[in-house]
Amino acid sequence: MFIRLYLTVAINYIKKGGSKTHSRLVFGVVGSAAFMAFAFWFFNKIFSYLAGLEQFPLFFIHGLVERFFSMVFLTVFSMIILSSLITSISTFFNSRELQLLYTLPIARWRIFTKKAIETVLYSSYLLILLAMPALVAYGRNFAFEIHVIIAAVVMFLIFVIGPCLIGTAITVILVAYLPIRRVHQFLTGLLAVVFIILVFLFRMMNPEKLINPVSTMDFILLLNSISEPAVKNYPHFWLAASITSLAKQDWGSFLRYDGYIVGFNLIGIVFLSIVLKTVYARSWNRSQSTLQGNIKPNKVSKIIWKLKWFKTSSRALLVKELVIFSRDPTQWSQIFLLIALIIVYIYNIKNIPVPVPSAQIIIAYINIALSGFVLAALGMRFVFPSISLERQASWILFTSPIDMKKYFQIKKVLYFFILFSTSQVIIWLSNYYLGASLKIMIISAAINFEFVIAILGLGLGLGAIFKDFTIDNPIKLASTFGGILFMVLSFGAIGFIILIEAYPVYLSFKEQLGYSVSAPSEWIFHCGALIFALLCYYIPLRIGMNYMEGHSFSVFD
Amino acid sequence: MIEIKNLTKKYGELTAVNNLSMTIPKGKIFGFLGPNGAGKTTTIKIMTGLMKPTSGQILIAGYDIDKQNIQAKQCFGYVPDKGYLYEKLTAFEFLQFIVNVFNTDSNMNQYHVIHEYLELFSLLQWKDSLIESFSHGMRQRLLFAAALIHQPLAIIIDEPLAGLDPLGMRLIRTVLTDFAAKGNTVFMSTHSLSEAEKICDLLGIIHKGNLVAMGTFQEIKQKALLPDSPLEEIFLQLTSGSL
Repeated sequence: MFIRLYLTVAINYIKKGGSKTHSRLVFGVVGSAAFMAFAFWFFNKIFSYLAGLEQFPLFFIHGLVERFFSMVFLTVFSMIILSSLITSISTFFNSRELQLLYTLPIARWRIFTKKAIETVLYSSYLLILLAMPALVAYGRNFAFEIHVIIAAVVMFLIFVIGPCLIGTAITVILVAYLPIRRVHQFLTGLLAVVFIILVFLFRMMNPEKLINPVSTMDFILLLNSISEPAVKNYPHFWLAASITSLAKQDWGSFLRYDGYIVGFNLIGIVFLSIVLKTVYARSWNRSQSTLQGNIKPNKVSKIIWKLKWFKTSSRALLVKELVIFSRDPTQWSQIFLLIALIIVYIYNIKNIPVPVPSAQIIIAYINIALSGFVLAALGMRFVFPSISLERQASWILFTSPIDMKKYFQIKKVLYFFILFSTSQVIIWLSNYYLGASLKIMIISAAINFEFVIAILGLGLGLGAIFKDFTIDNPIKLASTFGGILFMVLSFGAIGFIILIEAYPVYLSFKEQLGYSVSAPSEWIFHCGALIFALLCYYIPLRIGMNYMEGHSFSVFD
Repeated sequence: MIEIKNLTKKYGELTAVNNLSMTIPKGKIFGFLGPNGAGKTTTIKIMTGLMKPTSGQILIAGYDIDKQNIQAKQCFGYVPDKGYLYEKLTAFEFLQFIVNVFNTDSNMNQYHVIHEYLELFSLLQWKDSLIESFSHGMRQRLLFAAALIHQPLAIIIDEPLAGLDPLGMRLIRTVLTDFAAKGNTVFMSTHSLSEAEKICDLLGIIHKGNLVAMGTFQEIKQKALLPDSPLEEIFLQLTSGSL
């Protein structure tokens, strides 16, 4: 019954979706295919190198691969547990269809099964997309038979069910005793922290050495070191052992380990069934009693209310922006992710070898461009969606006596502060680790200031032109036409500024090598870049403001 | 107080509002009636600045909503039919935002005024709870508090009593009557003919974008040539196309 329902929804989505839906679908399919192709290339490189090592016995290589897989599957196992903890809040408690389903004459176990399947799919699909190419690459280099690859993929699909069942059971228990909003906030924060740790660990293990190893010994040691924490008697190890026994044609071990995984899943099903039978009713009742405890006043808002140099209505807009931002868990995870990426970026810069002192200035120049791209990503995530984030409460803005100039002024102040402070931290720290001269540091900071101006104008302007007040998740805006256009124009603007500023950097390079340079000509280029940045700021902002002033809601909004 | 002059709104070939003209004086409660799709919500959205008209003009307290929108918006409060609010603000924070956005009298004690309105709409107990946890009725009461807290001259309401319990309905009725008694104007669209009959001083009936009747209940009865009939019968006759 539910399968038929899903099919009807899917067919309607494709048939009646319109061009926007179709382009989103094509974008999703192409994006996923590209992601899988990249993953296949990455894993194929590692496995083909390993398979080609003739100086080591095959059992040693199989052992290494087993430990490598064990570590990867342990990570997958942990990520799926964490992901299902959050996903099951949506599927088992917040899903709107539940209100309808519980009033229909459908057995509870069928509804729970439907929701459990949804939890498994939503929690694991990204990891499945990543694992498939890895398993195909492994099969290609070690097994050479299609049925081996199919068996490995099927076992992986069975493996992902277990952690989802555990995660769901934990969530149901937590919601029975804690407010659902607190559980959601806590789990989102936890997932973000774990993700950051994983990003760090991945970066610290120097993955580039896996693709371009300096020496065989180096490669083996690296692989050995990353698989060190692997432990036996857990599902991740069983799956690793099961898959490597396939390549060894050891069918006995394959069936034994698969039996363990299936047994583990059966225990998971029994455990979740008991939890749903005994605790779910209490959890559901608690989650539906909507009134929650009191919220403490926001400390930042108290400070802003005291900033007398802003007009009262401007302060009100600023407080609203900050309070809403600070209470949205989806925003925190993005901030955590951003911090992680910045640290990884600076770590990368710190570890770049500088062969000769003159190369330093070239790396510093590349660093300016790269930091610009980090800024563009920041703009995509925070500045571009900022107008759409008014969401369906946007009518309040349009029926209040708020001057659009004032509204944009607040957005400009807020996002200028975010972009400027982040970019300056990146540029000064990275230049410090590069050992760049003070002059280069100042030039880099000035160019970054120009980037900030350009991205701020493009982000707010295009964000206003391509606003979508119906969006539920700002991340989705990145895949819209407006989002893509913003990224293209931002990259274009950064590239053009870099191009204009190349000459002053070249002069600095000459100066560092002991040549004399004429300073005035340098300023012409700086001014040119600044004027270009100001145009990127002013023109889209002006058009965006006009779009906002002329915005007309539909009768259905 | 509210003047609508030759208002027309077209969606492609469809004319949602056709050359609508009416004037609502001060101190009156005006009930805007009409079947689904008659053009009520479109008219209200144009009045509040959410939608642009194809032609025509709307003046609120003498200010053109299109050309002097800041001044015009300062003069009215709006309660939409779908109460989307800033979910991550508390009731107190939301009213504080409204008070400050409207630049309400800076000498007043904001804290006390907000408390007063929260108490009036039975929300004081939940002042520090996030709006996302509010029921439909609570949201509706908060919308009324927000529409009135900046002391407007007029209030524009789309389906005021939808989702309210009997106690909430009585509260809103009293609030609106008191508001109009102070010389302010209420413009409300409603499907509830009994409510309109109870509290409205003036009625306007719109059908297929055209104003088919306007005046007091008695005047409309005379126009419909049904002097002894209830509003429901008159409404059905006026909107069935027989007149």
